[in-house]
Amino acid sequence: MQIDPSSHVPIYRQIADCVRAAVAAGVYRPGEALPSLRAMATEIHVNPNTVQRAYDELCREGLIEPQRGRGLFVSQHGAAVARSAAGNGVRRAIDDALRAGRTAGMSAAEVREIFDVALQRLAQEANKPP
Amino acid sequence: MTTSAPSGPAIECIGLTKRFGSTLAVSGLSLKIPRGCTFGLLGPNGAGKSTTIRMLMGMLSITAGRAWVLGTNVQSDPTQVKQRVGYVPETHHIYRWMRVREVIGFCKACFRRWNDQTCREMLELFGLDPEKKVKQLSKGTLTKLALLVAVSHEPEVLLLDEPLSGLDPIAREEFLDGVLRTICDRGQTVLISSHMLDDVRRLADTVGILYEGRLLLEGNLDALLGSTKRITATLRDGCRPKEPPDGTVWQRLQGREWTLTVRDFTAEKFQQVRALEGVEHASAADLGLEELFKDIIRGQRAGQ
Amino acid sequence: MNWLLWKDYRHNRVVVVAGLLLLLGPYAMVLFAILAGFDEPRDGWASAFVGAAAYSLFMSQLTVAVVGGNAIAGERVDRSAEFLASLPITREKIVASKLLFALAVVAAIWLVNTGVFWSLRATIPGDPDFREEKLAKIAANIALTGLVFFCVGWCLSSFLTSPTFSVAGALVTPLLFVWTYMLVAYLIGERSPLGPRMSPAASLFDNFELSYRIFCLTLAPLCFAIGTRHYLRRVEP
Repeated sequence: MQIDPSSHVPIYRQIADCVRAAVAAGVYRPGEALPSLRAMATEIHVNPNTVQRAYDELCREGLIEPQRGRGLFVSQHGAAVARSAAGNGVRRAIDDALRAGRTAGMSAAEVREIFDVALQRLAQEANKPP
Repeated sequence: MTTSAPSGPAIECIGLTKRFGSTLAVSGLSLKIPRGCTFGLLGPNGAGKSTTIRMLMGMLSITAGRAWVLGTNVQSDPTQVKQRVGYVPETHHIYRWMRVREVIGFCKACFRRWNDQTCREMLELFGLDPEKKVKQLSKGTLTKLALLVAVSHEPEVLLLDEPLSGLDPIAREEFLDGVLRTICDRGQTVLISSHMLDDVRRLADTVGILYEGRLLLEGNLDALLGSTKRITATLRDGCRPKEPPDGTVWQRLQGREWTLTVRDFTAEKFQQVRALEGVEHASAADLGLEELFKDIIRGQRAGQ
Repeated sequence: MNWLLWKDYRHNRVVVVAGLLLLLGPYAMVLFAILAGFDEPRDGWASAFVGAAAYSLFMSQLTVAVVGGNAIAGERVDRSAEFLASLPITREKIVASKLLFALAVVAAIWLVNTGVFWSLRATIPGDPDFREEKLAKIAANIALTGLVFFCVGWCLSSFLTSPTFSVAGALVTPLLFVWTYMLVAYLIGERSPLGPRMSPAASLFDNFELSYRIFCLTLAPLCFAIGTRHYLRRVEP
């Protein structure tokens, strides 16, 4: 888990994103415990209050749930929540890319072409049909 | 004997001023740091960060204003403040002939509370050799020793004055490790002044920017970064930028590109810029801590 | 606090070692003369030891000056005073520890030398009736000089960052008194201030020794009080 302190994205959101990605990728499975506040804070060198804020957000989303006295665990439907959140992330990224294209003065057709080429390349790498 | 209300602020100063001859090092500083907060004190060299911290520690006389640490007035009872505060200075002046274990023994005798287990754990964590003399230690090791002493007496407040300056990346990480462990275990209030904005971003939840002895701004770090944006506007040929919106801390014109950093950013302010005569195109972007810091300082300098 | 006293001793260890050399050196020289088979002096070896005691006492006042001048300024020059200032030790405790250390040094010097003087007093040449009185007078003058050395050194040390200047200032003070005394005596018409007086206006300077003692007994406590008060009240280390 890497945090970029020079990024403009708030640290708590970076942590939350990392945990969501980890859950979506299966690093943390439903029912498994998340690292404790102390463990996470000292590992990534971030203020424990910030980690708490990230964990709180993930709790609100339903990705993780506290179990009394035992810490925080990935909820049963956690994987689904993570995937939908990841979808939001992708939507944001594509939005940013489109805005960047528009600022650069590109037309919608040019942007769509780049998009198709990228998808094709991804498919070739994964060896699956798009 | 002053007692501090457990709910009072950890550090408070009103109109704190320090004058060296004709130079005003700190001017009218008013600050309130609540308990449990990690406060990052930022500012360029010579802004008055070290001076402020030394005044809070009762090691430097205060010209005007007052300061309280954990409810104790720093001027009336500095010894009481030092009992409850862990201090790591920028340059270390521990007796060079003392061995590490002698330093620990000496400091242990001064403090009312001392946690031998914390001391042992940190000795191991930092890999300090008890028999080595202080003069044989590198700056990184000295800083770690200073932190060990500062933390072992279970202080309620930590004052760290540019502790990471001159440390190699590994020593820096070990130091941060030590600080984080103590924050996690004890929930202390931490005041850290540093140039290393990345480390401040990681550790601090509140920041204050000091410039030429004055506090320019202060507030929750995430809120500050979230509410400040940089607007980049492209101007038409021959057009000069007009009145920037409220809360602009810095602006620059380079060719046709007009850049401004705006605090308390709102959609209205953005529209205001876009609607200005001569503006062809505008976009807004978030800022990292380093850019925000630089823009605010540049803005101050340009304003003079 | 024991650790504080230990720190003061260790920090001044060089001074202690040099002081020991000054204190015991003269005795060592006499011992060496005996062991090397030199001829016994006319008044006997005992009187040689008495002479050594005189030298030792006299030169050890230099140690006293250094202890005084180095007391506070010595920790400013290497900035270790700042480390001390970051710890919760009251100024009163710091001063008490330094004074205790100084007292130990002074006690050692005087106990050793007066011990030798007293046990060998029978061998001192001169009229036995006035012998002890004369010794006591000389000892008193040396003691007062030492007192001035320490107190002026202490006072300067409290204000300055340089132990060298503090010690130098301390050592120069009795000299300054002598020069001023001679200058004033000359100006009011005395040809030889240390001898018989020639003008009635010189009654105050009649007795150089008395003037010197009054000077010491007023300057020393004054300097000590000023130096201590200043150090106790200032915030900076």
